[in-house]
Amino acid sequence: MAVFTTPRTWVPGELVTAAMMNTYVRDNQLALKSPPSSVSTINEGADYSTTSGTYVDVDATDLSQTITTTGGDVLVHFQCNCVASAANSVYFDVVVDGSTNAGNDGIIAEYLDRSVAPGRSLAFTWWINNLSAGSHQFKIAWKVSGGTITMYAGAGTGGGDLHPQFSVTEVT
Amino acid sequence: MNSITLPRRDVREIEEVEPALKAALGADYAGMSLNPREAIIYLVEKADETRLALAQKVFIDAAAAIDRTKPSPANARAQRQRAALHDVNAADFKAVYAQIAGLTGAAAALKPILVWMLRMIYSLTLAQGLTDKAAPDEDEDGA
Repeated sequence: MAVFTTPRTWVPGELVTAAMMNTYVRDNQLALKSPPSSVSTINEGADYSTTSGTYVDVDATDLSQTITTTGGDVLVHFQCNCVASAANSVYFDVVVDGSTNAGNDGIIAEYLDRSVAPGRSLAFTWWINNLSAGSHQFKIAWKVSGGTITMYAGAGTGGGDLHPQFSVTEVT
Repeated sequence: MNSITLPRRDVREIEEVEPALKAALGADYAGMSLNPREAIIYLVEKADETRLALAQKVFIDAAAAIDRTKPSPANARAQRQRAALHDVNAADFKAVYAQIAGLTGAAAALKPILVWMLRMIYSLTLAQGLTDKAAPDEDEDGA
């Protein structure tokens, strides 16, 4: 993967070499065309569910993305459909390198008053500022106010055969 | 928070095993999650290895006791909701109104409150979009 290099400040009369063109023009364009990113679309054999009142991973394997950033901001997107066994709230946050990123009650919450498919749709985008250059792991975490919350995972549930998607992209 | 991760086994929904975990672990139990492959049981921080081992045993026993020939709790709930919706759809508000109107004797004194309750139930049902029938005391031509 091409690495982005801080653009060169050209000076009058400078001899432009092939190496310069490859570094500052070709590689930078390639890097901008394909920034560090990762996406997963969920299509599982069973749905997700939790009763945890504190943040836990939804799926530490399939809803986990690792990208190697060049240093800067990262945009996260996630969407899903959820139902509740009885009316309760569900909360979501993004875990970055082991820590919830928003903190407090998280990024988004929804009061779920539906116990049958398709339930309620939830989606968020989340901008993470100033991540250092290097490898970073992102996971989706959730918690509930009570009862059992189920997230559809493309598992064939009648009326709820829906596919969450989770993506992370370095954007600056 | 402590946790133990186990194969999901035959567990379709958390409700199938959680009551046993709550009963066995009491205040040490902090919830659980299911993903397509695993069950993850959360215990409070102070719970020791003995409690984690107990959680594992209770989960395995509860999973083994699941009768997969019966609907899961969520499916059973959905069936009850569909049945209730069918009942609401089939409700004959006019027939009930006629029964109330026909009350005689001491029961006749209840007519006003019974009619008020019937109208309120009808209004709630209509507002929720659960019936397309006319109001119980409305003429066929809408008068």
